[in-house]
Amino acid sequence: MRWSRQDTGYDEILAENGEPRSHYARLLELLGEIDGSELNRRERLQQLSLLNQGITFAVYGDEEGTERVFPFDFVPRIIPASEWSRLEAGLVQRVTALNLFLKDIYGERACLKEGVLPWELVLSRREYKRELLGIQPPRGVYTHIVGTDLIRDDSGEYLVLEDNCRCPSGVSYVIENRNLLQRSFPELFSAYPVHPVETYPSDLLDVLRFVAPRSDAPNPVILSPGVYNSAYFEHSFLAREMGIPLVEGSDLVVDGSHVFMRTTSGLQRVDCIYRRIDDDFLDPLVFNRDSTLGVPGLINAYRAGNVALCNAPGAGVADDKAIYAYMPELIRFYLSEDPILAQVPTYVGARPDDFAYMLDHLDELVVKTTGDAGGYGMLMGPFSTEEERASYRDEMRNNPDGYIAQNLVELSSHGTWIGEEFVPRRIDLRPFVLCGEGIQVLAGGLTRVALKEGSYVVNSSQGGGSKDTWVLTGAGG
Amino acid sequence: MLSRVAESLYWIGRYLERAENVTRLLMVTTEVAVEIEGLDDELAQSQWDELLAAVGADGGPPLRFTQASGLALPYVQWLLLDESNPVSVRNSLAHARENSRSAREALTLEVFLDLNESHRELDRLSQDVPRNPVRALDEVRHTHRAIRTILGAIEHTLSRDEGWTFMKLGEAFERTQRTLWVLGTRLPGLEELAHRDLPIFYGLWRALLRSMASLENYRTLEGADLEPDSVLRFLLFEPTAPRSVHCGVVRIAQYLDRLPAGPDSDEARQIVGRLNARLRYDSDEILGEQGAVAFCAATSLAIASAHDAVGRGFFRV
Amino acid sequence: MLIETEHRLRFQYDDFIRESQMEIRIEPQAGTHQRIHSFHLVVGPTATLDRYRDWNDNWVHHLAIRGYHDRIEILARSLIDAAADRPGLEALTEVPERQVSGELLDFTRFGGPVEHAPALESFTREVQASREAPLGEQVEGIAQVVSDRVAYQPGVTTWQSTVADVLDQRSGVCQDFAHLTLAMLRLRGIPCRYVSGYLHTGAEVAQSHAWIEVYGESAGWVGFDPTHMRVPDEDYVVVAVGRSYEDVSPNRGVYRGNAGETLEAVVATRRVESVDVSRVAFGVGPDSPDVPVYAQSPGREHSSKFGTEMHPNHPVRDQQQQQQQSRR
Repeated sequence: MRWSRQDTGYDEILAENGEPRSHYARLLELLGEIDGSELNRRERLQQLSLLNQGITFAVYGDEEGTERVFPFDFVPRIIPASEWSRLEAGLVQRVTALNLFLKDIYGERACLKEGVLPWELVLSRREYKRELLGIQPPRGVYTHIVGTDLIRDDSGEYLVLEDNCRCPSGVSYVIENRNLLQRSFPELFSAYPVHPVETYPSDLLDVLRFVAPRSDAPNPVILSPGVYNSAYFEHSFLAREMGIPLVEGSDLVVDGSHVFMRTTSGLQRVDCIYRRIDDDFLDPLVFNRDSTLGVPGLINAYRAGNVALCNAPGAGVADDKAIYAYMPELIRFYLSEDPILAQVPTYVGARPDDFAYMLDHLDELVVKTTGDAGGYGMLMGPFSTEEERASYRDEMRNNPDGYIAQNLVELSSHGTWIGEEFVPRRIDLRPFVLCGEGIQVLAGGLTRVALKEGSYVVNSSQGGGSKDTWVLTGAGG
Repeated sequence: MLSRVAESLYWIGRYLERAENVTRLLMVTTEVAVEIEGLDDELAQSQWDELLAAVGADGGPPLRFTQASGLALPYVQWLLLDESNPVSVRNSLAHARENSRSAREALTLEVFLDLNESHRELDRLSQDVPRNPVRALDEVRHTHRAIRTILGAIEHTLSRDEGWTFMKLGEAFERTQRTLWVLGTRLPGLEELAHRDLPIFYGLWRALLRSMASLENYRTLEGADLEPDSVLRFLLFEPTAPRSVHCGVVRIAQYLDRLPAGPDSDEARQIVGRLNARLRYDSDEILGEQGAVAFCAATSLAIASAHDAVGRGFFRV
Repeated sequence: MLIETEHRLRFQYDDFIRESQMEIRIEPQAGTHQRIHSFHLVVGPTATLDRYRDWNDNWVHHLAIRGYHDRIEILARSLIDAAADRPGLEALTEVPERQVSGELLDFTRFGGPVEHAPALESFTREVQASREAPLGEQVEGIAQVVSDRVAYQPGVTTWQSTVADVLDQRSGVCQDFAHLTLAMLRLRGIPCRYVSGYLHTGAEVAQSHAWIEVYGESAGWVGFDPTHMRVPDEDYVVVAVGRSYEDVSPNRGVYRGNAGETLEAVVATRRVESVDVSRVAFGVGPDSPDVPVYAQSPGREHSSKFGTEMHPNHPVRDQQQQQQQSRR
C-alpha cells in the first residue's frame, strides 16, 4: 500500500525523506497487512454503525431535519507522549489565564485599567454581558469545559487557532470514534499503549459536582435546546454516560432564587446546570426576551449563588477572535510567564492600523468575523475572487470591530483512506480541557480532517470528517 | 423522572394503542361489511357509520360505502392514511414518533428504530395509495403487524421502571376508553336489531367480540354459545379478558399504584378506585337500572377526568 | 424639598396564568441630589422577592409568583428629599474631550433604541453649537433642535420605538425626546445617559418621566430635560439610570399561560412638609393587596368524550409569554 505526502506543510506520518516517522512505522505495517477490499468493507460497516446508533448531527441552513453522519476515517492520528506533555502544559496555562481574565473582566477590570486590553475592544464585544458584572460564579470557575483548536505549522510546531469557551462540542465523537475503531480494527491497538478516553464523562461529572453549591447532595443536569439542535446527540450521549437528567428549559422552574426541575414526584432542586444553550437564550428576563429555550429567573438564582452554570454565562467573551489576538499578553499579565503554546499572528479590525492593512491585503489573508463559529462568515482571501473580496470589503467597512484577519497558515496533513488509497488530507486538533478543583486535559481529542482534496475547512458542517486521536502513554512515546 | 419525559411516554402508549385499535377495527369492519352487503346494504352502511363514530373519526367528509368495489377503499384511505383525520393510524404513529424523540433516553434502540420504520412505511404508502381493494386490505394487515412489532419491542426490551409504567398507563387508559366508545356506539344498534334478522344479529355480536380481539377468549370461557347478555357481561366485567372495561380499570389502578406519590397524585387513584369497586360489585344494577349504554357514557367521562388528574398530578408540576 | 411618590402597576389577565417572574426598577436611587427617606413595596399575590443592585447601581426587585393567578398588583411608595440647588448646563464649561476612555465609553456607544440611524447625521447638522463650543452650550443646542423639530404627542410611538422611528415620525413622548438627544450627543462622542424618574407637576395624577444626564470632566453627571428644555430641579426624582430605556424599564416579565394582558400604570406625587417619623421605613409592607393565588387552575377545562384526550401530540402546553412594559 502506497502512502503519499502533501507538497506543502507538515506531514504527520511521513518525514521529508518519505519514510514514516518512528511512531507511525508500526501502524503502516499493520494497515499494510489488510487488503483494500477488506478496508472498504470495514469502513462501510463503520458508517452503518454510526447511522444505526443515531450518531448524527443536523446541519443548519440545510433542508429542515436533515441528519448526517459525521464521516469517520479509520487511520488514527498518533501523538507521542513527549509531544503531548508539552501540549498539556500549554493548555493548562492557557485555560488558567482564560479563567483569570474572565474573573478580572467581570470584576476588577485590572487588564483594562492597566492598558493590557483597550476598553473599546472589550466594551464592543457582544458577548461581554454587563448584567453579570460583579457576580461570582460558584468556586470561582468560569470555563468548566474548554475546547481549544490547534493546528501545526510547516515545522510541526503546534499553534493555537482559537479557544472555545462557550459550549464546545465534539467530545462525544472522541469517545465514540475510539469505540468504533476498537471494534473494527482491534489489531491496530495491539502495538500501541494508547491513553483511554472513556474516563471523560466521569471526570466531567466530578467537575459538575465540585462546582454545585450543595456539595453534600449535588444534583447536576444537562440543559439542551431540544431534539432539533445540531448537537442533540452529544447532549443525550453525555447525559446517559454521566447518568444525569437531560432537561429542556421548560423542565426547569425558578422559585425565588432556587432552580427546580419538574418531576413526576414534584419539584426537585437542581444546583448545577451544564447548559448547552447560548447566553442569549438562557433567561428571557435578563437576555433575549423572545427566548423560550431558557429558564426565566435563572440568572437571579445564579446571582444568589444557588446554582452553578457551566460554562459561566458571559464566558463567551474570552473566546472572541479579537480577544484571542491579545492572549499572549494576557498570559504574561496574569501569570508572569511566557506562553508555552504559540498562536497565529492576528490583525484586529478594532485597531485602525491593522484594519487598513486588512483592507489592502485581503487577497493574502484569512478574514473572520469575531462573533461566529463553525467557519461561517469567513473569507479565504487567497482562494477568493475579486468580486467576493469587494463585497466583503464593503461589509467590513460597516463594522471594523467585527473582524480579524490572519495570514493563511498551512495545516498539517495526515494520511486518510479515500476511495482505494491513503492520501494526505489537512487536519486540526481539538483537545478538551476540564476545569474544576484542578485543570485536566483529556488525553486525546477530536482530530478533524478536511476530506476534500486541497481543502482547509475541517468543520463538520462543511465537509469535514474526524479521526480517532491516540495519545501514547510514556512507555510508548 | 422528568415530567416531560413521563408525559411523552404516556402519550406514546396511548398513540400506539390508538393506532392498533383503529387498524383492527378497520379490518374487522371490512370483513363484516362484506358479509352483510347484499343481505342488507343499509345495515352494511351503518356498520361503517358506527365505526367512524366509535373511533372518533366522524368529523371528516361524508363517506359512502361503495358496493361495486366490494370493499371500502375510501374508509381505508381515511382511517389509515389521511392526515386531516386526527385519529388516522398515520397520524397516531407520527405523534408517537414525535414523542419518542423527546423521550429518547427512556427508550431502547429497538423501540426507537421500529417506531421510525413503521412511521416511514406509512408515509411511503400515502405517496402511493393502493387502488386495488385487496392490496389495500393487505396493507392494513401489514400495518397491524408492524404495530405489534413495536409493542413486542416495548414488551421485550424496556426495563420495568417508571417510564415503562407511564407508557403502559397510557396504553391502559386508551384501551379502556376505546372499549367504552365501541360499546357505547354499537349497543343501541344491536338492541334495535334483536327483533329482526337472527343470523345477522348473532354475526354482529360475534364481530363485536372480534373487534376487541376477544372472540377466542370468550369461547374459551363461555363455549360456542353467543348470548348477548353474556357477551356484554364478558366485555364489561370479565377481569381476565384483556380488553374488558373491568380489566382496563384494574390495570390503570395497578399502574397508578406503582407511580411515585406526587404532591397532587391521589385524585386519579380515587376516581379509578371508585370505578373499580362499582365494576366489581354492582354489575346487576349497571345492566338493570342504569343500562349499559348510560354506564359506558358515565364511565368514559370518569376515565377522562382520571386522565386529567394524571396530567395535573404528574405532568404539569 | 420632600416629595412623596406612589407608583402603581396593575396587570390584568383574561385567563389564569402561572409562574410569573418580574424584574422591576421602581425604587429610587440615592444620589448627590436626592436622599431617600423611605421606600415601601407591596405586591399581590404574595410573591417571593429578591433585591439587588444592577451594574448601573439601580435597585432591582425580582419577584416570582408560582401558583395560578389572574392579576398582579404592585404598589411602590417613596419619600424623597430632592435638592433644589443642582449644577446646570453652565457648569459644563469645558470643551469635551475627543477621546473618552474607561467605563464612560459605554455611554458614548450607540446601542438598542439609541441607534445610529441614517437620518441622524443630517438632523444633527441643524445644531447651532459647534463641536468646539463648551459642553453645556452643545447640550442645549442639541436639545433645542429636538425640541423645535419633534412634536410632543402621545400615542404615536411605543415603548419599543427607536431613534429611527422618532426621526421618521417627528413626534413622540419624553422617552423619545431623551433617546434622540442621547443619539445626537453620542454622535459627537459625548458621554450621556438615560434617566427615568418622576416629575412633580402639582396635578392630581402625575407621570413617570424621562430625561438625560451628560458627563462633564469637572461637574460629573449633570441633568437636562429635553422635553421641557430645563435643568431638573427639586420637582425631579431619579429612579434609575442607564444607556437607554432598555437598561431602566420599570418592569420586565414573563409568565406561563395563554392569556391576554392589560397593564395599567398610575403615578401620583405630592409635596410633604415634614417627615412623618412613623412612616420612615424600608421594605415590603404588610398591607399587601389581597390578590388570590391558586395551586390548581380554577378555570379548569371540562373533559368530554373527544375533548382533552384527543388533543394531538402534546397536550395543552402553556406558552411562555412576555409581559408588556410600561412607558415613560
